[in-house]
Amino acid sequence: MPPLQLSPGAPLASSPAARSPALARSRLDLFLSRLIAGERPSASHALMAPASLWLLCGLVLPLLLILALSLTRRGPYGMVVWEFSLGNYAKILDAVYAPVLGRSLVYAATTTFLCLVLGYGVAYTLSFYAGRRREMLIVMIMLPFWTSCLVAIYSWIILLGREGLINNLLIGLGLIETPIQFLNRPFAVILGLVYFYLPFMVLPLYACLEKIPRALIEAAKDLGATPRSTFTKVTLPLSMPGIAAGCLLTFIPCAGDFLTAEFLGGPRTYLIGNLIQNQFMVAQDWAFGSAVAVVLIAVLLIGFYGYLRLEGSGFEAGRV
Amino acid sequence: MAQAPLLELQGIEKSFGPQKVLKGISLQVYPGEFLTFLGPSGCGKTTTLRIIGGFDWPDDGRVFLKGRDVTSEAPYARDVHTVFQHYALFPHYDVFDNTAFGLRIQRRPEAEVRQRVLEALDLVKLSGFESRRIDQLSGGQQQRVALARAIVGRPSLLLLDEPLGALDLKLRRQMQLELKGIQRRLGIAFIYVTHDQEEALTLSDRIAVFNAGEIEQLGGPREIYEKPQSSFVADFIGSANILDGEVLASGHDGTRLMLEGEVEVLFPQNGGSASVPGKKLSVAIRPERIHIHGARPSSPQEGTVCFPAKLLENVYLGASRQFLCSPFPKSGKVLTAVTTDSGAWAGADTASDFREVWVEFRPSDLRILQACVAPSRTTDVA
Repeated sequence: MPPLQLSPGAPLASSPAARSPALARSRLDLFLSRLIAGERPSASHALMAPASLWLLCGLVLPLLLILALSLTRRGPYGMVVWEFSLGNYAKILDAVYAPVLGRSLVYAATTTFLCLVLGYGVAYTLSFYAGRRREMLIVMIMLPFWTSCLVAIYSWIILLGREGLINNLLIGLGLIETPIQFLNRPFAVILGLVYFYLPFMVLPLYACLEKIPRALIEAAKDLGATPRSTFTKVTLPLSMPGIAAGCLLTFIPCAGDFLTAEFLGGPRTYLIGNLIQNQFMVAQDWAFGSAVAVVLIAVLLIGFYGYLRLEGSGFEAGRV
Repeated sequence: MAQAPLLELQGIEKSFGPQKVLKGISLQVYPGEFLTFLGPSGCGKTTTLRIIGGFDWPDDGRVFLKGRDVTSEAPYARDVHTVFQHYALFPHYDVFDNTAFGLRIQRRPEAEVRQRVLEALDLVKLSGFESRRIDQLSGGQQQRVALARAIVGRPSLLLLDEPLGALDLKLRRQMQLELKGIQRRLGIAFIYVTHDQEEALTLSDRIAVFNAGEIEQLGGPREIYEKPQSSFVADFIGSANILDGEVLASGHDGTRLMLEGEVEVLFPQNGGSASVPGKKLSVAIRPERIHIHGARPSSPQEGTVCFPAKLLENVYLGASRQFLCSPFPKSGKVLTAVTTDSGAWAGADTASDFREVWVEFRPSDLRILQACVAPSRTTDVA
């Protein structure tokens, strides 16, 4: 991790010039320093101090602790033995655990893709056709946030169970004879993930589509572009930043999700989030759990770094 | 112009909510002509342009393009291109790709696209800028790209919505002349929307003066300026002093008018049906037609009237000098006069130098406005 300038004391008062020249080297550094420190006067540093302190205690220190834990061993009764070891990382490569990480990434990618397909339509309609009903529709999209996610999960169980509403309905209509197994399968897990993360896709997409000047759409039509080619040549390229932001916001939390798989999934939908949770809460192997968490973070950071590289090479075309 | 019109509007009406913004616009545009829609903001000129472009649909009335009814056709089906007010250039394309957009939509061969784009960029003096990004261009350069993009497909009609509005005065003047040159070279008909009367006079073959959703007057620049048909046109094009007049008598030598109930003049034309004695009229006179003297002229020129006035303001404007004076003590109406800053007035800077002045003008410079006073008209639509 780059130096984040998080301590509330002396570094906050330092001028930008006094900062280490190495700080602003890599893209990630640039991104983070833009995000956290920026080239701002010291007044705003003072404003950032409480949040910085919060992040330091609530995120950076625990992360360092996790990193340290991942390099220790599990004691015979589940305690942490403070001895340096890379054994946990070797264990992840085991035939048992490696597929879990792969499956998590595949589920996250599938969910992200489905959210993108569904969410783009919603965001596009909201932005271009919703008119005065727009505010109400946005509130409706946010509704899943307002209910406890456990309530939502149990609702899905009620809907999808063997004796659930959907099966009963299908049987009642005579469409099927025996109930369909929805739950404890990838289908239910991905359905749940799409349900929970769709707003994370829709909102940045909507914000991005909203920013596209309508005159550009009119200009394309004026120059002879049909609605279809207007979309492919103007709207879609200009919404790339929204697509990227939405995919990041969906993919990252999805990759670490464990509740959905815990309740809607089964043994074959065991995800890396479940693995981490299990190590801490059940197996009492904090050292191994920490190593898995570190690997997940590392994979996501590498992906994020790749995104920033793409952005730098002009992938994010629609800077308006 | 005996040719068939390129574009014809018939009784276009349009309302936004309760507000009627177009109250029956009819006009014809001929091939190769430069027609300007001139009017204050909110007068309906941009809405009319958008209806011609296909971005808005009229509530009533028809749009004919080359004799074909295109009223309900989509913008992309019309042989009309637009230069938008804020250019509307595609930020994800460079100058070349922006210009090539329309041709590529038509799937022209790339060699032809290349040749025509380079020609268009050359015409707007942007050769060498092909691979620039849009945000690397100045406002004037963006304006040129917008123009190149619109003309590269050789439409028969180009719509320009206040295209120079965002440029500074000097650049504006230069672009006006270039626009006119390009229009002449290509022979494309231009419909040009502006609220700048000077721009309209400089560029246009004909001007349609819009006011409150109607065309007040349609004619050549000289006709509009010298023979305004309403007080709105007289006041909006250039500036004008608009006076209340009353016909006293009408004869073969002209019409006797009483201005503001105080000054009697002989207007050397027979006002026709308008000149029944006792009839009230509006009369306009341009500020540059009024001369202000510091003392009573010893030898007044032939055919002028001369009367005293109180000088209110005397403003130095660089090349010219503007006077505000009050020759009508009863109505208190203020006259504006503009002269070159020379002669007796050179160096005179304050009103107190000449408290009493003499106003002189030729009654033949008066214009009797057709519409007999409707000053409230301008306030109909915001």
